[in-house]
Amino acid sequence: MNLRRTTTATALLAAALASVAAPGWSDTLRLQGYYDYVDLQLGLQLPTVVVPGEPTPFGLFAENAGPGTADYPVLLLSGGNNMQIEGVSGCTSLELPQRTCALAPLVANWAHVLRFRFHLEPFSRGIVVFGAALTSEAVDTNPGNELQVVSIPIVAEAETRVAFVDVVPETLVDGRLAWTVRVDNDGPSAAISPFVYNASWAYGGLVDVQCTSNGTASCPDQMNYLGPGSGWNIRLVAPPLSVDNPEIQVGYGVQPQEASNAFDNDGVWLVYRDAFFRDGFE
Amino acid sequence: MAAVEGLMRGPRGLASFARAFGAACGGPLPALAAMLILQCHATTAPWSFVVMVVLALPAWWRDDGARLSLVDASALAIALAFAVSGLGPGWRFDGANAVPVAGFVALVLLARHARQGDAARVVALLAVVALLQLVPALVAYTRTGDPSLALRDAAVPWLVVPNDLAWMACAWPWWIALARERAGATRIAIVALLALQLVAFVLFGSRIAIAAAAVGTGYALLRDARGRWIGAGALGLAAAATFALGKGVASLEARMELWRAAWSLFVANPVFGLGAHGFVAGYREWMPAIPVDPRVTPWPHSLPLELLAQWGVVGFVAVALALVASWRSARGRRGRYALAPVAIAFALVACVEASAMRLWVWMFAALLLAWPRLDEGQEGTEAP
Repeated sequence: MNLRRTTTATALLAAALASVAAPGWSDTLRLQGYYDYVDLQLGLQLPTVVVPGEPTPFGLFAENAGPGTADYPVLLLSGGNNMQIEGVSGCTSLELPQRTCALAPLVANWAHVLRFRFHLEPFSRGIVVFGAALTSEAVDTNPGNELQVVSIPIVAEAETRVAFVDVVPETLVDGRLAWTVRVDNDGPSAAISPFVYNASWAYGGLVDVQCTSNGTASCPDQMNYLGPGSGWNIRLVAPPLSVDNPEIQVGYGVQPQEASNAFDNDGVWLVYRDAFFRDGFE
Repeated sequence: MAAVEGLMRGPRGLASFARAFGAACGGPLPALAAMLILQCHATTAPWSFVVMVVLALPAWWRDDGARLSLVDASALAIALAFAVSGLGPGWRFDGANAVPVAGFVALVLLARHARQGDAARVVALLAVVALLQLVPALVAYTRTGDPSLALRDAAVPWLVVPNDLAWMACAWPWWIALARERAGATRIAIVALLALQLVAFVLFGSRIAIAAAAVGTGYALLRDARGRWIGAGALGLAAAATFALGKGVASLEARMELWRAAWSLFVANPVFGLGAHGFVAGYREWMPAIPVDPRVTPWPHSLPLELLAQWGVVGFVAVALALVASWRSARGRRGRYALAPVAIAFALVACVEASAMRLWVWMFAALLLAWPRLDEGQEGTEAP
């Protein structure tokens, strides 16, 4: 056997076979040599404000300006611990709580449009810092990292209601009259440290205010927040009607007072009178 | 021509055509020419090695030698080291990366069939190749005005980043030798080509290309009494032009970071290295938190360090064997187209830019390794 001819034949065959087996070798070599093999772009379509407690849809588009294909593009989402994110479309898999969204391969000059929803805890306030990073995890094809961080103001919306549970007062054993007022928050946000006011008065003395919803009588002055879907029962106890107390006004209101958040002033009002005839008056 | 005439005489002429084809392809030049020209554009490059192999068959058939030379063995050792680097932890096998290695070995082995005068033909062929690459690159540049985008649009497989123009700069000593040897139109064409290249080097902002052209040409001319002053002038002009491009030292600082990372990778994987094409997978671990150049860089901008990091000691020994073999085969030979100035320019580019990811590096390295064979038999006065 002629060693030189055999070796040369092997080398020639290897060169031919290798180039045929990898038909795109020339382009692959060229593309692998670029500093940035893939040029990923990340666009965010975010709302101008976020309402805590309310699902907020938002969109992203992940684009690859090429020249190569991003084989394993991955989207990382970040929004703080008070934010929950759920994928709607676009992710081949979404891992929570890491918030890692695997995307389908992105060929050059192509984009994926992704839809998500995030939920902020109802008591969130201030701003939410939302971050998204797009990367190709195929390190041998050069990750083209793209990072976007956006701060969005949080504007809470709390729909509060105040109503009498019973308009006709309950007469207690000692003759005092009691009304129950229900304060509700229909959300979606929590009302933090809402301002409550009691405009009840009676000629015959103070109208006692009790909170009966959680077993403590002092809650109206210590309300931290009124979560969405929750409420208080306020019990107002007035002195019995008498000559000196011919009229009782029961009024109760709630107004979440927060900077940068506007809420309606909700309250209920009732004036309770009864015919009362002093003995021998006629 | 004789082959075509034979073919036109009918079936009996077919044998005549085959004989004429075999005679024409008896040396490595047709295969080399076809391969290099096809590699000038991305659409034709995939066929370059297949065509080369077909055209090399007559030369292979006529080969009646039995012994492998040290040069042959070193080329095979490099291919073996490439395969062995697969034992490294970061190796990512990609058929594309294996193609130029296989082509490199085939080219070195084919070069033994060189005929007298082939060196001059290869030098002329390289000029054609340079022109075929320069024209689309410059046309794209006039359209985009951006060196990187222009090279991307030009789709020349050898030219991936602007500094890849440096391969042309490495060949300047050969072209200048050709221009000095020939008179008339050839000389004018060569001078025009060099001027065009110089314009491209400046437009594309490749300082390393200017430096390589100056070092290679300056070294060649300094050895020649008639060209000594021109050589010194070339070096001075290149130094001035290099600074005039005004890129500062940021690129050198960025390279220093990459070199340190490559060295750290080698220290971590000394025997087989990280694996071919593994640098990009591991270098960021060894980079500063805020690097000078934040771009993801697939190669360390130093061929020796790249070989150490990716191929380990095994690969480095294989390449060292090739260098020794090349030096031994070049020693004592006298050719018109000296190897040393080109090798020095190539070494400069290799130390600060070149990568095994580049097709031109493999093809040019094969030419350098095989040059004593290609230049064999030529009469001349210059030492290699």
